[in-house]
Amino acid sequence: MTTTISLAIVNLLLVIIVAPFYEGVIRKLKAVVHSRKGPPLRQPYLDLLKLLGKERLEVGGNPLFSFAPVLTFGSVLVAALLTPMGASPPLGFAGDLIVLVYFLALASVGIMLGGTSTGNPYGALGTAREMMLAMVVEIIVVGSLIVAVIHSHSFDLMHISSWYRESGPVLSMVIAAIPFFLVLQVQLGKLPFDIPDADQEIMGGPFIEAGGPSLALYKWSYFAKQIILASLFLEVFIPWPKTGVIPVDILINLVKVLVVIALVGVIDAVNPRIRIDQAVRYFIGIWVVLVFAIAFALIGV
Amino acid sequence: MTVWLALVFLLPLAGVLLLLTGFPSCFQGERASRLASLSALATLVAAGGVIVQSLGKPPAFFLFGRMPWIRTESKLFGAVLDPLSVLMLVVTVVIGFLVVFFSNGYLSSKNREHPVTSGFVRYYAWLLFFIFSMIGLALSPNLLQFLIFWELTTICSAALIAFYEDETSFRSGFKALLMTHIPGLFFIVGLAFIFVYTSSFEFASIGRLPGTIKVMVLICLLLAGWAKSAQGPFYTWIPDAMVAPTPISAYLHAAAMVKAGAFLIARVFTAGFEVGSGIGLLTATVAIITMFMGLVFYFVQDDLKRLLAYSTISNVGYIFLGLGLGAAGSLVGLRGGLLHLLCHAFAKTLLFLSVGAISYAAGTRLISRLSGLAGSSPLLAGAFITGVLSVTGIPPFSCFWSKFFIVVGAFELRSTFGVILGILVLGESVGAFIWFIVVTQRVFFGEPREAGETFAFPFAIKLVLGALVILTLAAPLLGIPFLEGVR
Amino acid sequence: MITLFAATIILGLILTALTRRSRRLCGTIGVGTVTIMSGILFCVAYRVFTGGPRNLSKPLMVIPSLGAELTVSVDYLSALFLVIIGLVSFAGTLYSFRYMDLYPSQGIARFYHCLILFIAGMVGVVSVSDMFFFFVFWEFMTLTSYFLVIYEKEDQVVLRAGLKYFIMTHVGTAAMFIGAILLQTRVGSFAFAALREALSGMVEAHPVQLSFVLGLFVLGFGTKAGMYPVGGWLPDAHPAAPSGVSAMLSGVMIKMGVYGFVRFFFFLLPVSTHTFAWGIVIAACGAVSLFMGTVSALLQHDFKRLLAFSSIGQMGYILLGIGTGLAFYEINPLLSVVATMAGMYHLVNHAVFKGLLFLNAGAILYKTGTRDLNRLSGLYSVMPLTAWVTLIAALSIAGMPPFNGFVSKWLIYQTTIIGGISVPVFILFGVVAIFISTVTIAYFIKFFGTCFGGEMGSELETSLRPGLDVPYTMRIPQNIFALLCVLLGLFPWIPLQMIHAGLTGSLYGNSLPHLSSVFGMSEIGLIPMMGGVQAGVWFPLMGLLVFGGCLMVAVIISRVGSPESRSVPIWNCGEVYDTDEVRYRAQSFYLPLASHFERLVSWEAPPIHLKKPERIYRGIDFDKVLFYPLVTAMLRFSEMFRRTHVGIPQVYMLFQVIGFILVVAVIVWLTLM
Repeated sequence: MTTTISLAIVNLLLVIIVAPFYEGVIRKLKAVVHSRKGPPLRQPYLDLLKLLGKERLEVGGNPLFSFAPVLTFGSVLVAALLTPMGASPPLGFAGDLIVLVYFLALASVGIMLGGTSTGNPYGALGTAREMMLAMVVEIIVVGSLIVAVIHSHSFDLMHISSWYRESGPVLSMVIAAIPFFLVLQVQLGKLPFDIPDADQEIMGGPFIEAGGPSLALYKWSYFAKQIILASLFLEVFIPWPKTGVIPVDILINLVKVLVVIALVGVIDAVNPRIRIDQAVRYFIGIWVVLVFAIAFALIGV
Repeated sequence: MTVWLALVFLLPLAGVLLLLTGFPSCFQGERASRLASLSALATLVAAGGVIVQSLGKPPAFFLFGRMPWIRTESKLFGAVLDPLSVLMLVVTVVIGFLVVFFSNGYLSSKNREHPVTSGFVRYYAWLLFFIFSMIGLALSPNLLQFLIFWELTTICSAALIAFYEDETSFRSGFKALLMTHIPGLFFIVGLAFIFVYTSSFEFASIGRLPGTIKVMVLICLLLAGWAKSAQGPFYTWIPDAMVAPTPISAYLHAAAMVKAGAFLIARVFTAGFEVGSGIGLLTATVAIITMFMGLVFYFVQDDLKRLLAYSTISNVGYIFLGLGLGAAGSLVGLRGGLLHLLCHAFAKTLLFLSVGAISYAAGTRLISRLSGLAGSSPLLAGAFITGVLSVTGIPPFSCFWSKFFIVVGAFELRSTFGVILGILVLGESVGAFIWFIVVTQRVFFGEPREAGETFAFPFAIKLVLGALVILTLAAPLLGIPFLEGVR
Repeated sequence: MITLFAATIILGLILTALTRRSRRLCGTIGVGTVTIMSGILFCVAYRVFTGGPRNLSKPLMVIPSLGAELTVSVDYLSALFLVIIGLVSFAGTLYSFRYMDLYPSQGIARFYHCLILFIAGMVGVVSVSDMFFFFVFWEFMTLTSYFLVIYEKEDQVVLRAGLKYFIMTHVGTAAMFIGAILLQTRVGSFAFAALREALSGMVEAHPVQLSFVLGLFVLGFGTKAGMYPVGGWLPDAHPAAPSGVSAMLSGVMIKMGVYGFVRFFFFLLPVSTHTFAWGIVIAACGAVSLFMGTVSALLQHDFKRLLAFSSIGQMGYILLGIGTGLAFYEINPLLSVVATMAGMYHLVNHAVFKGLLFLNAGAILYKTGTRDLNRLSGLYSVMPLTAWVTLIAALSIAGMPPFNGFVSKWLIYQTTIIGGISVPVFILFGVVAIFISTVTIAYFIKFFGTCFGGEMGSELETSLRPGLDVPYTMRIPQNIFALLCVLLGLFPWIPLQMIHAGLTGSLYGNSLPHLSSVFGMSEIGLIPMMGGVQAGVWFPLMGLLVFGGCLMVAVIISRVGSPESRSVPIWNCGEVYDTDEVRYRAQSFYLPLASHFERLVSWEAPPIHLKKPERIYRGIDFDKVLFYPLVTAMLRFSEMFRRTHVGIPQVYMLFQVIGFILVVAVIVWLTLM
């Protein structure tokens, strides 16, 4: 019982406090790749604090506009509680893999509701693009995870990782890890797939009207999703090393997440943005890889 | 009981005589209709008495008279009261009265399609005479009396078809006369053979004939029945007969006279001897071919009455199909055929009289000129839709029960042929349903052709339509238990 | 109970007919009648769930020739459906009380008559245990719903929709007739128990015929349930009907198709290899419907049509669940039970949230007079209450936790994927289902975002019906359903218990696992156990609690800087545009994806132009073929004789002489013989 509560607090703290640090890492990395000096590592914290103090601008009189960021951030927090970050997920007794995926989806829904609630055409445009990407990408996320489910016969995250630890690397899981990793770019809103949030093209998409605390919550959600998805990826596909001592495991996890985030940042730095229809076609191609992974999983390899 | 029976026979005759002799004088010209209605009503009451008295009792014969030059065992003329004759009597007399009463309203100068100002006496006299002939046919105890009244109905039909006395009416009447009478000669031939071999005119005596003669006689009777009921190749007189006034079309060519052919075959098949599945299957095959022939013609009709005529052809095919299945061994099929006789009579009369009401008020019965009539007269829409749903066999309306019985009967034969028959029957039913719903939508729903048009019907028409709706709904409830007693 | 029910119906019919001049009074009586009917249904269901299945001892009507008896028997499955019928009917009718103001020129009594008879028909369908009377009520239900669909009888589009509906369902039912009669001829009776024997008899002896019969029933029930190809009447008929009726059609009537599936395949069909095969068939049909229905919904801009296609898609979920349950009966019984229960639970959920969505759509239609999403925007300011309720409904159908849609979809995913480990094709179905759930989110975003988000254009503003939101009689049913969405999501235990009871007597027979072995630790959460391993877990209450906590945290964070608020207009890069000009219309959503799907989805059967085959008509026109030539031939024959009458007496004398000689010659020859 106490473990659960303390783990819950740890997860929440990681997500709220530590997450912006990773964003700082990405920005610094991007600057270095672009031969710039770049902002200090603590810059995202400063941004968030600044935004939290700014005026709250109400547009359109629709209370959904103010409620959507709260919904998004709240869903992300619940997702954090369901994610194993080195140790077992604190809320693992109340929700399994699908619940996690759906709470992340609920976060996206929140963003989309916020985008359409004001009537700004850029907002709606961004929402539409976000939805199209989600349509082709969600299935890849779930598909990769299904490979793990097929092997471990359960949707419970702890069962999956303990199975994988016991059985060692498996071909189908290795294949399935690739699409999941590629999809990380989409979920975290990083180039080449930051289409919904395209600053230059559509003025920020769903976030165009968000300002002040609302924008802070949106940005914080993205930061949090970085840790959550990276932790999920690592726990399912690369669960080693595991010592069994909880604080050590959490630290190991943080280091692994740093590596993943760094990779994400490098990819973000060297790629341009691609168009939505190109993205759709690209990911439909990724579906094929996933089909192979599932097929291999079914025959037990 | 004999008194009641005598009344049933004599009351329509009395009506005819009174009309012809012109006495009493207050009932001349247009008022002839009232006398006719009284006569028909009285007949209905008398028939009701007869039926009530015969319920629950075994079949009874009431015979009198012989012909000195023909030697037979039993007396020749009179009436028999068994389930089949009671069924036919009910159909004849109830619908007869309703049609007569309907004609009160229909046959007048206010009729927008065919205003009538003369010839009332002629009309009602022939109509009452027809009722008399049909009663005689329904209650016939043997084939001789059956034949006599059969021919009488042919004459009445020809006369009534030609009522409007123009070129096409005369031709149609004559055509009907020829096409039903000449195959009727086969009836006489068959009857002669029966008498020669068995010295009796009873229905059951067919069973005593030697093998090939029996088959030949049955085929002769079948041919006569087919011609009268417009089956097979003999169907062509009915569409042309639609030039008759609509109540006549309803009564003769939907409810009573075309059923006479089916009734003949029903009498023959249920007379208690082994008919043989060959004959049964032959009847069934011709019936199914007729059903589809009728269906094929639906889609090119613009005239509502002609559409209903082809529908009648198909539906009488159902009756024949049921009878054929009964001969081939399926009791359910037989009961289905007879139930269909009852249900279809009421439903088709309802449809024809609705069309009559339409032509009365709107002046036309062409589908292309009618639309949106539901707003003009809800009663008419309700009547027509009830009729359509009944005839096409939608539960819980009447003909659904009979058609279902027939399909079950077909499957009950347990042969591939039976299964194919059943599926074909369902197919025809669905096809008819589709077309009738399309027609109903075209005629009744949609934009009214003249905004705000309302129809005003005389009391007679309204009462009859209402009564028929109730009867159509009630027919299966009364008919099904009644038929449990057949064979 | 039955007499009370029948009496209510008759009284209702008479009173609505009498009061047809006054719309309010007639409506009140109509609503009152349906309320009493629903109340009776709830009472009966309650008695059955607490006391056991109830039958009438004597049949109401017997037809010995067919072996059909109208026996009324309500078992747990029927009771479940009675609850659904009562609930949705009550909501739909109460809603229609004010909604019918949209049709001032149509007679109101006709509406309530058809509605009452329609509900009676549905009740009849689930309460009889005899196939013949099942069909009678089935067709009666179709008939009355046809008249409800074409209520607006002057509109040609509506008429065509109704025609398509009636014809397609009638053909499906005719197919079922064939199947049922084939079974009946084996055992001589239409009662369910007898048909069960017939089916068992056919398993060994006539497997091909059995497959034929099963196929016919799948076709027939599928037509009513909205399975992909044969449910093509749904997108036309549901929008054409008045919205209260659409809610009932989509909420309950298509569920009757599923009732038929369950009754037939679970209760009547004995366990055999057919169970597995047809389970896969049904699941496959479900997956196809899922895909085609939802993807078509994505492309619509008439929101009632969108909801109708969505119904086709969601029925696919239900069929997938049931098919999985059927197929895994022998392989993994626990999985099978979970899958069936998941399918049925989705049925219950769908009745609630789809009914709610149609009521919402009707509210929008009532307020704005248009169904075109391209013309709607910014309705939140005039319909705030409806907006929140629509949001709840949309989140439910998208399967978001903690609402009810999530629970049933979650169960379906689990059963198909884990089942797919043994039978790989189910992985495909599961993956399709998950993909489609994302598409569901997509079209609900499109629907909700365009309708309620943003600002109202000026031309829309002028065409609005005055008053706050919609009348309260329209809001009450919506609120009830929204509450149910939440409750069913938080306490899935109650409906699952009812469904589990409903499966008694089915092919699970005595081996129906007790509910606690299927779902461990079940009072507050669900842990499906399939094959001994805990397959997943979801504690709705805990989830809700935590979610609420997190929302609070988010709110606290956002208020921490205590900023001031200020209201500003939309930022269009500094320019001022009229809302109608720059609004992102609904049809622009998802355009790149739409081009991929459109080729797939808008395949329509080519219109059949039957040219009237002239030759056939000429061929069977016996007049010309047979009779007239015959008559003409006879006339010509007698014409020949007429020529002998030349009118000259000498010729006649010559004839007499010749004749005399001939006759004498013949007599002489005869005597000599």
